[in-house]
Amino acid sequence: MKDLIHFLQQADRYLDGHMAPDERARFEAFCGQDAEAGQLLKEQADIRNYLVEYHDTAHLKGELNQAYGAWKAKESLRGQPSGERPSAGKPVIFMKRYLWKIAGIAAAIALLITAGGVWLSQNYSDHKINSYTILRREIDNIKRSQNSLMNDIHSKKAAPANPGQYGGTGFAISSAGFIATNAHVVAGADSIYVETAGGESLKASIVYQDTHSDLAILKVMDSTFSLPALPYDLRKTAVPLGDEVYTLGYPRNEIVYGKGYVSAETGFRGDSDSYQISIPVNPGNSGGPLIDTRGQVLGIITGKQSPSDDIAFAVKSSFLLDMLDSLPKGFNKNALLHKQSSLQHLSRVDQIKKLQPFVFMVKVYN
Amino acid sequence: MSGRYSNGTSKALLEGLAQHGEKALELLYEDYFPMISRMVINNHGNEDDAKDLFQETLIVLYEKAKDPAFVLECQLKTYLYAVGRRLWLKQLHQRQKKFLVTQGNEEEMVGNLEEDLQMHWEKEGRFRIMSASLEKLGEPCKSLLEQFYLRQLSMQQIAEKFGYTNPDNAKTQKYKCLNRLKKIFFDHYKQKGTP
Repeated sequence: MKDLIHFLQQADRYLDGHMAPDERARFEAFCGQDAEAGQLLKEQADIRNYLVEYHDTAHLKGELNQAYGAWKAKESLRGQPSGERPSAGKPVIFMKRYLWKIAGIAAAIALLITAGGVWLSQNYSDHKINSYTILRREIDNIKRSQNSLMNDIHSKKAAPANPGQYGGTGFAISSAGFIATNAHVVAGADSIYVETAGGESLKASIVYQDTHSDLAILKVMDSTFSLPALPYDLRKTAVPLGDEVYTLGYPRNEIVYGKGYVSAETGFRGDSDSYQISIPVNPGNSGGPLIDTRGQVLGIITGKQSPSDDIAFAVKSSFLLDMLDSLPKGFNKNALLHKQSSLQHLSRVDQIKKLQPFVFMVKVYN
Repeated sequence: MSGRYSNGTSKALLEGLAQHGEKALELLYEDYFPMISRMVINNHGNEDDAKDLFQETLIVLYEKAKDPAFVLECQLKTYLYAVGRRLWLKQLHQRQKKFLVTQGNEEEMVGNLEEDLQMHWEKEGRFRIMSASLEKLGEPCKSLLEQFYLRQLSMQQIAEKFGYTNPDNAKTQKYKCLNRLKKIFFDHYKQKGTP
């Protein structure tokens, strides 16, 4: 086994082009002479290509499904049954639409000349209907300078030199500093800090992420960091329509409370992994816990439907539950389960007071 | 409809497709899905069939568009229709139904169509086997391989991410996973591949 692993490692180095020319020549000669080695190298090259190919196609299929969804949404607004739309033969009724499009295309071509091809992903965004917006916060320069001013006046705490480029919310899932948030909040992160309600900044690393369910688990790197016992637990039962829910998050540099209700059992375009929630949320709310009246976490805020104001989506807590089994040693999931929520009989104001220390601002630098 | 795009715009659409550009994908649906959808629905298909078929058609186009040297020798519309028609014919054949609408000579206008489609079917076969193999492989192997071969993270980073005590452990684990994947995948892939 050890020899095999050693050989495959060499094969990977060879395929990645990390070998010096003479080493490369020796490796090729060896694989040419030894039939078994030659076969192993070929298999290694093939499986790597097939993995990349698989990933690429799976990714494209997902995007094509989204594009179909967007087309369908537009189509239903036009009130035409799909597939039956008259085409070029009888364009009179649709003249207006075509004119609009021709104008759009002309503008796009003009842009293309100056911007060289980037327009396809950036232009037209104002024509998008019912698009899904993730709620990570982009911290722009103005906010940045205001922020640093406030820090100067109010505190002398050592914070990272520049504030994060992106911000979101996360919440503790263990007393030992494991924090749940959205995968899109920490996507592409070079470094991640979580900030407590008290303004303390702590470096964190990603220990698990799953872009499919849009969940990520962070771990505070300071091993001495610990929290009191979690006041909440994960809700394992289905949530009925109309159930009142609330969230805490960081759409600003301070924690913000929002209240709403479960408005549908599925999320954006019928996504059964999520709930649709009627609740006011803004960029920065991504990754925040969605909590029911008894203080149980039933989901994690992930995005909202634009341009609507109060249609938000939250991935169901059952996906978080599934994820917990994949976490590395040192994580004790019992802290989240087999336990009554200690918030159950408290007033909302007291619940929030108790929750605050467990909800963090996530700052991402890249 | 045919004159609405200059060649330059078709080219931009293809480039957008190759880069998974959201707006390019939406424009492709906007402009060409109704045509394919009509063909499917007029030939024993329903809207879901049309959705799947157009997706497959765009994947065939994507394979071509990815190659920077690729030049579309006919109109985009003609290419998509010819590919879509051939893909749907194959499905109707499997369902033992006949194609009802006779059409013009699109297929003659598209060079190497059969080659493109053969390549696509091979890839589609591999995609299915890989998908089933990864499913069977399960976690954490699946993510471990993904991080290493697709995201190209170092073993050090992977060890930290997955909580392995050191990079050597992570490396051993990765190759164990890879060997299992190879076994599952090539067992099926060879069976299918050899006549």
